[in-house]
Amino acid sequence: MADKYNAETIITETQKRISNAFDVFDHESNKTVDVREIGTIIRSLGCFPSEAELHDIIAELEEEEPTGFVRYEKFLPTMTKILLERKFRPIPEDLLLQAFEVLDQQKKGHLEPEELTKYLTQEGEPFTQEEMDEMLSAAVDPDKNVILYKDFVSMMTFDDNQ
Amino acid sequence: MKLQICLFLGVTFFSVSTADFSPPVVNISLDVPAFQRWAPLKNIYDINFLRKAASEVIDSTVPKWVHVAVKPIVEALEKYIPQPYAGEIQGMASFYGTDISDIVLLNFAYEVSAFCTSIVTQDTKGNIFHGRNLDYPHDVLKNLTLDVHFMKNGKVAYRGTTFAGYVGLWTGQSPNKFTVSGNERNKGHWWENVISAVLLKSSPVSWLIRETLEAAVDFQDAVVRLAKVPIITDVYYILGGVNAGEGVVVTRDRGGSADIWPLDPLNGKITVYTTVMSAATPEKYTTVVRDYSDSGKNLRHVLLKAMKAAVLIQRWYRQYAARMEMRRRYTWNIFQSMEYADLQDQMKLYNFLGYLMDNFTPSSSERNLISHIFRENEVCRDAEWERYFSYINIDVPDIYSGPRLTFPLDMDQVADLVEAFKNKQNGMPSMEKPYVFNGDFVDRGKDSIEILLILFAFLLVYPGDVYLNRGNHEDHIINLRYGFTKEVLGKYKLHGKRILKLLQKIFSWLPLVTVIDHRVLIVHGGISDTTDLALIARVDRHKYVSALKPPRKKTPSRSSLYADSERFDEMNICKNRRGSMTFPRPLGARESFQRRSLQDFSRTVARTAEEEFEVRRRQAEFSMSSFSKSHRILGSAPSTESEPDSSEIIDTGSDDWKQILDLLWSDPMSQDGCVPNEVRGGGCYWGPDITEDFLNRHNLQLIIRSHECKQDGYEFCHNRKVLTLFSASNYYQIGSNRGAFVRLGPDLVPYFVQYQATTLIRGLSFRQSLKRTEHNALKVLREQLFVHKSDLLSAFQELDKENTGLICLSDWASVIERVLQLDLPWRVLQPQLVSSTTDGMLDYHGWFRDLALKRPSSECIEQSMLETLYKHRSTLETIFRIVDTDNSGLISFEDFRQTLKLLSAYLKMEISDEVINELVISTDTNNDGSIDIDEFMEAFQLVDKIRIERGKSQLKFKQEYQNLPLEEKTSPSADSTGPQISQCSASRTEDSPGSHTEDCSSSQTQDLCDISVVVPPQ
Repeated sequence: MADKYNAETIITETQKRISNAFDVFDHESNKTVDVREIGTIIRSLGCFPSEAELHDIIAELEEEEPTGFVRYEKFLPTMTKILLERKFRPIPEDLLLQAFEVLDQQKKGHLEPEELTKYLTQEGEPFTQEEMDEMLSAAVDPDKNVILYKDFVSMMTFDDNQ
Repeated sequence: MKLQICLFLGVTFFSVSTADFSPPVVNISLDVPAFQRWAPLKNIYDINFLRKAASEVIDSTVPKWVHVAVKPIVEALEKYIPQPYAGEIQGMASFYGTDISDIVLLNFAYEVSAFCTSIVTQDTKGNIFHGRNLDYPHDVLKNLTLDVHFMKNGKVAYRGTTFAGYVGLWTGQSPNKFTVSGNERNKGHWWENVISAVLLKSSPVSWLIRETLEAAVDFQDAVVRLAKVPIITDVYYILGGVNAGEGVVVTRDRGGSADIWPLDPLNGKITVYTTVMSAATPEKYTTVVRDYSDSGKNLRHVLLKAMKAAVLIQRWYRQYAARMEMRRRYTWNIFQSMEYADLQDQMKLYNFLGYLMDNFTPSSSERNLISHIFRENEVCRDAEWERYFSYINIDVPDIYSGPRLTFPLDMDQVADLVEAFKNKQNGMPSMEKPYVFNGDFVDRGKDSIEILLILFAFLLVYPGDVYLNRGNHEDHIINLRYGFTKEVLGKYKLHGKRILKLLQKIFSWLPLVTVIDHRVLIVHGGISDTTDLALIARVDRHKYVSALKPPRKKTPSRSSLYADSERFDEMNICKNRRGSMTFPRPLGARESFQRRSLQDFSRTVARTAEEEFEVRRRQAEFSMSSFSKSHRILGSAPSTESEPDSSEIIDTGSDDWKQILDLLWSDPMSQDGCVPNEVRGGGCYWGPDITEDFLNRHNLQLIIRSHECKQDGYEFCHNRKVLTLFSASNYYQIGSNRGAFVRLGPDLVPYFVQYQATTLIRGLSFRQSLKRTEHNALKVLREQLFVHKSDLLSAFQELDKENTGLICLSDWASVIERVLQLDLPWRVLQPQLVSSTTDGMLDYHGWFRDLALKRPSSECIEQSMLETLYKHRSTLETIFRIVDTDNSGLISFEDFRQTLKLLSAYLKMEISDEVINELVISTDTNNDGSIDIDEFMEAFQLVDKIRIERGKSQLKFKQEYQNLPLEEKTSPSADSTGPQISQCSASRTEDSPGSHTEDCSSSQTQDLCDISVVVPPQ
């Protein structure tokens, strides 16, 4: 079967995947999507860009006179390149844990919801309130009312594998 | 210590040093509302000068397209721009007497007007000097410069230097605390700032400076704030404090990372920190910086580390959220494509009934069954009507002891609706708050009759404040298929049929459209290129008991004549819907029956064979002659000389009918034009041009319609001229969509309120409810895969030339794409539908085994037979329901056998008595000679294999983790009965009771798993 997976097949399959993902957001079926949904499409294809990187990709995808929409013809080559070059690789679980540990400055092994909210809505590429609430709804241990971040990370990674 | 700040105005400073360059000073009170704050500018500037200056700045800075792009921001200013800036900008606009968008542009334009140089330094005595040079890119700005004193409680809270029209600050002083100035790093473009501000909701630098001046308690606090808050553009902040050593340059990127270079207080040297833009090379920015102290290092280090950690977590979680969003979207796509399949089920039923009438003469042995089927649908004439429905005739049994005017209202279910009126949401109907309900009150869950009664009660209590529009479901034929008939007959065993008849009558009198203030049209479905409100106003709408068929002609005549003209009406439907048939079907005489409503068949049965023949012959001609014409041609074709008058009557009737059908059944489309609605089989698809034309013709500005479920409860199309509004949340499944209503103010600008009306879902996180909904969608999808098993199998085998039983996943996806024709993202769905692969290859036989039906005995029946029964199961169920006249849920073995026989003959498919017996045995478990309909339909449930397996493994992890016996944890799902079940099934449109229980128990298992699993699998 190895010969079946030559470079061309891989490109074709990658592009079909991109096309499928794009179509989910192409509400008018006219091969365009709202520029605000590009991030979701790129990420749902397994990429982990930062907001700033996303920003750069969008800048590349937009028309000279931005219309608020991105055309499939523009998206396909850019996205194919991103996927084939394996840019924006997944974040390893241990690195993620380390990040939570940095925020847990007193080394308690957990974070208070207020603490996490403060960091994630004020630092870096801040979450909106909506994003924060959504994350907390999954992250906060209902009994102890804290974020047991080790468990949380494991649970989310477990989710991914399904 | 002394803090000084020096301002250098422009490059001309030195050459005309005698002139007074002090800018005017204006006091802006922070104690007055944002809208009025900047009014004092009027005393300083000539308004015409300000306008001219503003347009000069905008024209030289802002590209033309931005003028367009900024419009939506302006329309929803509060959404994009935080207070008080939104208010101040609005106030500024009213004071300028100009468009708000100009002031917004002006503020963003200034944001990129690079201010060149700032200096912070200290002398040997520790005095801090903070300098700022204002060399403007626009000359005109010089004349707009002013010093602003922001006042609070009569005192100066902070000061700043800025320009008239601009609400932010780039230079400011907080008395006795600190000074601050901002310098652009000029990385990026104008439009990037806008995107950053609008999409990422980051703060413009100048607003952040103002906030810092207002809120920071001291120099250190100011540094931390400016280093952290996300901003729209890259910038240098330069800060000076009141103590020695308090001088710092903060380098910021848009996203966040900050670098902090403090003055070096230890050496006591004069150190100059500047950011400089060279006039010769404006693109090049340099920052002159030196060493930094240890304290600064620590601060910087901690901030950087936390920021990097935050970015990482944000990056990770956003990716997770995006995948969840993708799942939410494709779940939606599945439900939508399934709904279209469902609409086609309805056509299958009509086809089947038509076939029955066509092929079974009164003498045939199935005669009894057939008359049985159609007996229930005799028409109720106006003359008999009043007597029939006189409430005095309705006996209330003696055993009844409750209050007379109580309906079986289930408070839990109705609570949400009533709540929406009662509490904060919108309030009860009143003169000030009239309501329009836009159709489809029934067929929307188990409590349709209760909702209907509330609405009717409202109509009586608030006659001037409540308006009901008819929807396509206010139609007894539709109700038969979508569950309302079943609901009423189940709830009112004694009077159910009479109630249905009464409702049929009421439905026919419901208004078709409502127009608000001559501006807004409210209609259930939509319009077509022929929709004419003047015509609609004249229509005798009550004659259209079902919009699916034109009215009966009232001409008294011989019975055969009556029958004939009636048939022509039916032909109209037939012809109209021809375009809607999306599956192949045989041509010939049978064709003429396919769009028939159930109601007509009782009459047809009584017809003699000769009459039948004659009628059919003419129909054949009819349908041939008009086959190629558009769906709009109605009734003009028949040239039956014998009845010229009757055909004319039908003619006008058909025009009216077509008007009504379009109003109740149409959907908008994005392309121009007007074409028959192929999916729904009634009404049309209309394009933006039709909307435009219609609104112009009637001098209206907006169409509000319903008819299509939208994920957020509402959606605009046709350049915001058409608004789709859908109020039933959880339409497909719990969690599938939000509902919404719209409030129109005096200006008729729509304001939306969205909600989700299930108590069950509130306790679930977004993730859990999504999984539940997704699971239900995938289940429906697996049913579809099962139904197409034969076709899929042969397609797989064709690709699998060496007969290995394996295919690669890309082939799997393209085969399914081709066979099912469902327009779904199969490659995205694949991980959910294919549980195991070996080296990227799928064992398709094993995969099919996972799609097995529940009942093991069904294995005796061949696959194609099962597929067929499965495909037609909703037709079967409807027939069973009709045959079960006493609503006992049971039908006799003989009726069962005959129904299946009829179906098999219709499908040209042999069903042997043996197979039927097989089916009976597998269904009739207690051998009492009757078939339980629910139980029979239950056999057509797919085994929920994937969930069971997944549930098991998750429970196992839980068990290992908590070291608890497995039984204890599974028990809640095992005996799930009681209130949860009714809640769970509350918003289902229709399904057999059996499957409700099934859903509930398994979804509870799911909940348990979701909450408890904390250990990853190995």
